Amino acid sequence: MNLFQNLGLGFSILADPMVIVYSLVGVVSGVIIGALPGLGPSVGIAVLLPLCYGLSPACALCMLCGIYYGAMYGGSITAILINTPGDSAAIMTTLDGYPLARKGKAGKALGMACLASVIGGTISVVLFMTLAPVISNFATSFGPSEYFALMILGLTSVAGMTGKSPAKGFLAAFLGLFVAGIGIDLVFGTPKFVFGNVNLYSGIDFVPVAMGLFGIAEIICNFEDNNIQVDKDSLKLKKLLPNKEEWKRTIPHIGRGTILGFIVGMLPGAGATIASFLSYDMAKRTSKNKEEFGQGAVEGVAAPECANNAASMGAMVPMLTLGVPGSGATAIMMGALMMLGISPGPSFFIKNAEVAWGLVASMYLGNVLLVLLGLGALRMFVKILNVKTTTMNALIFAFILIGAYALENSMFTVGVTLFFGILGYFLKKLKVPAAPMVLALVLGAITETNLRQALIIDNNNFFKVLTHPISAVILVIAILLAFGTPIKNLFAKLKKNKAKAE
Amino acid sequence: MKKLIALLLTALMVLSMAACGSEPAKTTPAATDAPKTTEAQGQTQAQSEAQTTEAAGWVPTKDVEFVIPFGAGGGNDIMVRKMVEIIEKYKLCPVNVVPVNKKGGSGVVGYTYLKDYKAGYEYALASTSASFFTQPITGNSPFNPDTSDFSFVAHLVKDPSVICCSKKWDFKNLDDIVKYAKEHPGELKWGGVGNASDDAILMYTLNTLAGIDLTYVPYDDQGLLTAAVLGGHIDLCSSSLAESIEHMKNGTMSTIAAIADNRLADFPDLPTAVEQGYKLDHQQNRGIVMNPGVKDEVLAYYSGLFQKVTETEDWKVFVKENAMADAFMGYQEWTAYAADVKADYTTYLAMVPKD
Repeated sequence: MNLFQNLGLGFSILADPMVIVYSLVGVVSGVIIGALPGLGPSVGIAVLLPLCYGLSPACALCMLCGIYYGAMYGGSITAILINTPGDSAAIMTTLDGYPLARKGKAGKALGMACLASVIGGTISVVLFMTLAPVISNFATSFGPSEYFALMILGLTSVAGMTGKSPAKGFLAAFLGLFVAGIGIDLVFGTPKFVFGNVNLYSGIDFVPVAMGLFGIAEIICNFEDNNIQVDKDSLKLKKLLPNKEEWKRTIPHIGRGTILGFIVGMLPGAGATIASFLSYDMAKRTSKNKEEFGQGAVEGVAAPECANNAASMGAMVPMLTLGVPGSGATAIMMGALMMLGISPGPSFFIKNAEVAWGLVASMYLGNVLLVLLGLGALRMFVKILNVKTTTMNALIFAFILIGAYALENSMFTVGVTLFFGILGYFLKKLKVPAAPMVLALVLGAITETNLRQALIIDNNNFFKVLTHPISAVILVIAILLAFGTPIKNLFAKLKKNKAKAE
Repeated sequence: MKKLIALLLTALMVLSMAACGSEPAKTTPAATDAPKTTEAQGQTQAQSEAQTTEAAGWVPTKDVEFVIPFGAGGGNDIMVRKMVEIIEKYKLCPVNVVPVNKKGGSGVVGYTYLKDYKAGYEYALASTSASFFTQPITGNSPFNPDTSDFSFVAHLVKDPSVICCSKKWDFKNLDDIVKYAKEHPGELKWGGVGNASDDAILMYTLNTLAGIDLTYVPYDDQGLLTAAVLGGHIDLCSSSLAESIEHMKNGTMSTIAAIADNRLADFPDLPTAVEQGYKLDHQQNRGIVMNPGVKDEVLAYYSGLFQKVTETEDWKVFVKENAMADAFMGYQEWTAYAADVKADYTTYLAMVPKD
């Protein structure tokens, strides 16, 4: 009962038309910023933060959240249409979204991405609302050893992205792990592979790498390869919505992806990118249409998209209830809240009940706006494809370079982006998939840090690190996922031999 | 027609992009306003120079760059931007002061950028934090934190911190911790950000002072460290008030001792470590530096400018809100003090094991 009272309180805040206006402003700008390569939710929030000065906390919060989930969806638009993820959480969307677009089903892919985002978002708002005040402590039950196990689980999903040649997939993954090793060692302060270059001291961030490997490499390849055609008929609203059969195929994946995304999002430091990686991998493993993945499976678009939106919602749980931001975007948002005189923390839902429940209500509103905008404005987005390839390439190239500079205000990141762009081109020519490299780069650094912290905490007893209850369970799952098929084959063989012997 | 719409759309994207690029740094408006302001100020300056030729000394005649060697949104960034805001609000300086973020290498990238201007350059300032001292001493920066590589302009604030402990323990003060640690060597873990940081220095100093064996666990992010202490994976940490005052007030983290010159206004009942008999008073110093060889009259000008900033009510509110301790020093005092700070860091960092 209390829940509905609180929710009523939240929705009463929405009665103020200005709140709705600001929420709309947030979602629209979020989608646009998210669609620009390299600019993700954190940049969007940081850029529009100055607009929040002087707003009421409810308006400001609704706008910021609008940007957040707007950007999560926006990232998928360019991922699907031009194979350039707008932000890192949309990398997985390119794997099946772009092939779908090439088959002339761009509208279908965008529609699916939008609906999956909204469904993922809506389910996780319900989860957030019912669970946030209760499960805030879940996030803290993960210590270094648990994170280490989770990252190992994440690394097993490389297997799902290798395409035809596992060897090439693993080659890419090891390249990614190598790049993750660059920088000053956290524990001893020893420089690793920095060759005296101070710009490398803090390591190489995965955002410029992803922009290079996906964005720039794609542009270079586009010169040789022609554009996608969009069938006008496919952009009618009816065609955008998935048909019965597609719903049947995707709904279970959306459900699982959402819950997985929400849980991963709640863990500080894991975030939407890892959630989308894991969700895609899970969808691929559990799907009946395994062979379609990578060739344009609708599940392959739905799974990562629902997961990244769910994760962005999940990341709000530790931010609001513990004051521990789980991602760059939530960190900036927390700064904004403190600017407005609200300190997130253990007493947030009690002390600032009105703001807290207003936020929940605005999330519902934001999802409605997202579906209206997503489906209504799709025809506009697809117009991007009408621009001549050469013009488009030049524009995207400019966006990527500006985005790369804006990341750290430094020409060095621009150089990193270009370097990985050229590397990405050669990898493409050699048919080495780029996704495992980015995955390994994202996970590698976190894996190393957490393993070393865990070892220090457990007095360098490796066995003890592996046998924390949560870590042990996760590691067993990881082993089963990685070696499940060979183990199954082994048992089948043993059985057969036994039968033979008898 | 369709092509036109498409072009318009892309143009819109370009425009929004341009807006994205300029807003956070706020450099564009400043740059365009610059000539106007300098001109107008140039006149007043000429007048004032005519009136008090000798007393006025050096005055800037073009925009000043304020290098922030850290990312946007961090403590250093917020502080510098606040100062710039105050300078603009009270028109304390005849030219624009433009903040520039250059992050990377724990500040080294920013100081490299500063040092790309030649020695004696009068229009670039940079803010300092602990890494200004720790990076060179640990051999990760080519610059010495002394007058051979920098001129010292002004010291602004110190950052007091609080030693906190996970709720799974019922330690009440440092004596409890020391007693337990003596009985169980190596068991208690102290989490901190970075490997040769203020957090590490505090723990190794306590180890040396009390003859105990706490283990240091480095984190690369304050948020993750806070989560680890809340979850009981880490037993102890030192944290600034700005970072975890909510947890200290709510009792989700227990407070053990304040690391400050005086008791903290927010926790008047929490004794400082020195009061508890442990000489632990190491705090982060935040100040401003320039290239070496800058003339005294220039240093005196900037030093005076920032003194005016720190005397405003806005600054006092800011310092209080961010739980810092006001500690203004002019250029001469800061130059002498920096030498002491460097010596302190050298002693402290010698306690941090290398491998």
